[in-house]
Amino acid sequence: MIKNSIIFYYKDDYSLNDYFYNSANFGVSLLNQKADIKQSHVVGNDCNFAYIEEVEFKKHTEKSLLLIYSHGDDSGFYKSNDDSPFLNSKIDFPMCIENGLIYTNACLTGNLFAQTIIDKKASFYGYSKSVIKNPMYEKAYIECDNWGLHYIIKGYTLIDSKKEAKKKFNVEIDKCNNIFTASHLREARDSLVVYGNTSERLI
Amino acid sequence: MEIIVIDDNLEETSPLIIALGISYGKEYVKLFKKSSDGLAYITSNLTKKIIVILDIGFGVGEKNGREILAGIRVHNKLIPVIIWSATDIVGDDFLEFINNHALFYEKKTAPYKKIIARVKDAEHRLSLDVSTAMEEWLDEQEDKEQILMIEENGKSYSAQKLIEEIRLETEFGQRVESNILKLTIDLLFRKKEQV
Repeated sequence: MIKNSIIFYYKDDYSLNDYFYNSANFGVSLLNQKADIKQSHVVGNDCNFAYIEEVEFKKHTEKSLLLIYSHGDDSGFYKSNDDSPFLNSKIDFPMCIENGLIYTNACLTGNLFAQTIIDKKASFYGYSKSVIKNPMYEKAYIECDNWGLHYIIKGYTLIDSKKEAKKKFNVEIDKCNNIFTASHLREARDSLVVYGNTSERLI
Repeated sequence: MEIIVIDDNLEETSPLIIALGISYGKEYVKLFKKSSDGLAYITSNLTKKIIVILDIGFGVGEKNGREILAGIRVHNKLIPVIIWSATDIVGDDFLEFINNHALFYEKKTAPYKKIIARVKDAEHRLSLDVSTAMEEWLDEQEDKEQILMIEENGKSYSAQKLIEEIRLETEFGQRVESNILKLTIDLLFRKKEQV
């Protein structure tokens, strides 16, 4: 079972303001239910490639849960509108990734990045497409982004956690009074992907 | 629904114009003998549901049909345009008509009833089109400036802005259309499961 976690997030995003910060706080509140999982937070300016590779990852020698709340593309994670990713598939992957889990609300990282980490025996939960997030419906998006984590922490497998997250998306789609936001929630729901060890309990 | 006929050889008494008036109402059939006047009318009435019947050859100083079609497409990719002309379309002109989504091409020798049938076909296609349905829904919104959507990059969209994105078939407009269509199907199937 995974007993260590590293949470990456930041405030003042150029487009979504404190969305990633608030979403991370929600995720951390879920994680707090598991007192036996240690937490290490990488916040704000510490979300950069050099710090993570040279400092943060060297602190962690056991398999870990990486919670990443940020923008993303096919190959990595970005803070605000930075030109370079703070974590991508070119990083010298540390031991904490092996047999660990990367859980993220970043767009598109369920492609090349996910493929790279499953080659390192890690697992992945996230989105394979770009997801339009409407800040006017922040609560719904935050809950949907973290619903899978809620079930992973409860001991569900990745596949079953994804199923539960999809149910949550459906609840939010059905009660959403803005058809465009509902349509984007549907798009997000159908771009959820899980890879790696998807059928065994990880936490 | 308005039928816009841009043709310098037709008159208000021409069989096609009379027949269109009977089918759609005289006030909803507009004949423009000057191509520039027809284009100006279309670009000033983009919120209307329109089908265009367009000739290719016009007099000296007037834009030809190819140029008019291109002019329409700058503002709206969705208006059905039926080309009705004595001129054969060849070479690069043919490619440009295709690339600018001319819906049908009929020779001037075709009987007016065939053009009416083409207009009916265009009307049917419009009625089935997701973007048309969305345009109509958005157009009915009382406050067209109200923000309906904000993208992740912070860009916001009112009903009016969404209509423009859909009409111009921008990448974002196409994504919105596709998402609405998939949401509709999703809702129908999931609700059906509960019946």
